[in-house]
Amino acid sequence: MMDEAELLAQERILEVRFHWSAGPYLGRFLGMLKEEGRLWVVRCPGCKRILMPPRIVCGICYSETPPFPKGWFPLSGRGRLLDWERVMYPQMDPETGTIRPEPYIHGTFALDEGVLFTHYLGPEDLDESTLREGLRVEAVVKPKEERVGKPTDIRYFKLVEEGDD
Amino acid sequence: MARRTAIVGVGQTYHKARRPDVNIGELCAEAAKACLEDADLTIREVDAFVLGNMELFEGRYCQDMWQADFVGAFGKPGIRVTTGGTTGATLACVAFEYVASGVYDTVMALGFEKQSEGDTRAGLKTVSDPLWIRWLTTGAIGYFSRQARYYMRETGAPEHMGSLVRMRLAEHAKRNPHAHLRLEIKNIQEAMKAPYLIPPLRQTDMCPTSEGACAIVVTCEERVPKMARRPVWVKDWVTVHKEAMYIRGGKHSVEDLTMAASRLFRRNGITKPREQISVAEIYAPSTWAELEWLEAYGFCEKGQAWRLEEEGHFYWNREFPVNPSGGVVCTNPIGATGLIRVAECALQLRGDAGEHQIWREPTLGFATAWGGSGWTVAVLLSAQKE
Amino acid sequence: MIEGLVETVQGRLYVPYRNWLGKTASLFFRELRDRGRLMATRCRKCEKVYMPPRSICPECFMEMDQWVELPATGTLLTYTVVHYSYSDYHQPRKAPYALGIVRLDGADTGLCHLLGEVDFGKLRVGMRVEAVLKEERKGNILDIAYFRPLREGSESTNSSDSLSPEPRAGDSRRG
Repeated sequence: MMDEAELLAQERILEVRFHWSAGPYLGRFLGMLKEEGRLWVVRCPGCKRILMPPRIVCGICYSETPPFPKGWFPLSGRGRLLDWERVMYPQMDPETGTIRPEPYIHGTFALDEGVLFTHYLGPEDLDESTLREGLRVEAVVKPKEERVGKPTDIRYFKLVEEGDD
Repeated sequence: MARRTAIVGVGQTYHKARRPDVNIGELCAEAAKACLEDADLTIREVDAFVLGNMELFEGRYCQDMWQADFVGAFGKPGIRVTTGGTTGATLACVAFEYVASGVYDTVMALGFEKQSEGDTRAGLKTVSDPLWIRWLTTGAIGYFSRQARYYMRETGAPEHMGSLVRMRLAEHAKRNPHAHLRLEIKNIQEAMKAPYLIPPLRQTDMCPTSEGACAIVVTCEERVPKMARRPVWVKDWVTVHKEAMYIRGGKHSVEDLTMAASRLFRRNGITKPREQISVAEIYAPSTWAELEWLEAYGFCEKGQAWRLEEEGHFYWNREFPVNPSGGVVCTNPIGATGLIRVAECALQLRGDAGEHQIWREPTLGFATAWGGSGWTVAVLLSAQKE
Repeated sequence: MIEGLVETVQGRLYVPYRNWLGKTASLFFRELRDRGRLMATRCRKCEKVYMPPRSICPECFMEMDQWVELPATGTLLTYTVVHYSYSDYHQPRKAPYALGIVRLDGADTGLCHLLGEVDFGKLRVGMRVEAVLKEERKGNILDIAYFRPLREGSESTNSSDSLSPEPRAGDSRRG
């Protein structure tokens, strides 16, 4: 007789390749990150906030922003630690299907120019108990030959001493 | 509003972690059938369909092609709606708009998710911009852990508040046979033993991934007298978009929620939400979000929600029942969740929620959904036609 | 390439999935895998026979619980020859290869599959074909290797210990 017990599943891997056009603004942002290892941003002429990453219109006041280099400037990559999270559960990277090892620390930083930024907090053996809101942080950028024009060209942010500019 | 619309039938599956006995089409068919049975209608009487889910979770796009002939939409007009976490409520809004516009008389909205079929967290990451943030995002869990820390800092709420909310939702879910997680949590100490995902967020603070489907049938005023069930009138609805979070650099903001609720309340003469609204089915993926968002919607002052929770104010048999179904924290098949909020609210207003029916006779119900890019949907339902 | 300007960002999705087949499709693939049988479902109301099988009749909106075993022979409803290779992963063969929709004897619907052991120029709509099953089967649609033209006077290679009613040959229930 027909056996009704076994319920089957089809396993497969969805692999699709993409190549996204970065556009003139984000392309410049990623290009300058690759070239110089710095974050170039633009200030909205209408509401004056810094658009990071830069874009052609401000999402809030809908003013048009000038193209590079007018009105653009590089961020120092320095700021203060605002908040952080210790990620303790395994996550899959949708680009590779691999699980990112945990735990690792992810931080939100208030950069000196008045912009919020999120990135990893490193190095890997960073002791979480030393973290406090307000500590000075600085971006650690990969060497030029390793940079490809992605936000991970910044390896992580590290803690630095006050006045260490 | 052009025509008055009413919900005349709801149906949902019994939500579980896995449903290996059905494929996607069959899962949707279960909800469609349950809904038609509830409404005492045949499929022939449904004029159009609004179908949706969050596509990447099953790795199949254009889901409506697959759903259509399992839910009885074969040869009928309709549209697919996929708006992430808000999909369910957006499906309801589109169904309301279809009927209110006069183009269709009776419309079924159906949403589902089969989340065990893909990696939910990987799927959620693809919502984020591939050019900029995808490599860095910690996804929904990261957002909600930040939200919890923010709420604790701003309001002085103690760390066990998340667990207290979970105890209420667990109590509600125990009474709701359709809920997914129907845990027995005896006391706070037990809840606080749950492992961390990202501190202070624990596993018990965050919603599960569920497999399930939900459907509602909406019709126009003219057809209501012919319907079997007591109608639940759709009073109003609103949707609000805001900028994707990363543009703001991760600064925490709930202005989209406040915008949506205040617009809805202003249009409908609601000045004292907690008094005038009888029951709220709030889309809140974490326990801490439920507290902050009750404040954001205007149900209480900032910092007041956790104090009211401590007093048990939001239980099904107390002053202002919130999520008597158990909420998103107990059941979350993403494409259906928003619609479950609307459906559960409708059941309450009809007096048909069985064991999880709130103790007081409800007149107005408030259902919401929220999605990853700060899209908020809010719906106001009424037991009276007015 | 302009210095300091990135034009395109390469990326990909590489995500594993595990889709449940459901009770109905599970039965079909179990029978195919374990006994080399092709099972279809029939609607009690309109009597349509569905291959591939499904649990709900889309026209009557009723659950179907009647199973019918179909022979491995059928009629080619339509076909196409694919000349374009675009993915080793997503395509079953390297181009050129032929795909067809086959109505198995007794079914009211068509099954899409590969066509083999045939000169592309000799493919004809209405051609009689038969399924060739693989020796080692895993429980997916490629357990059928392909459909090939039916040889003159050849019997169906299917097992005959069917537990369900005799399948009927095609056209009478249409229209």
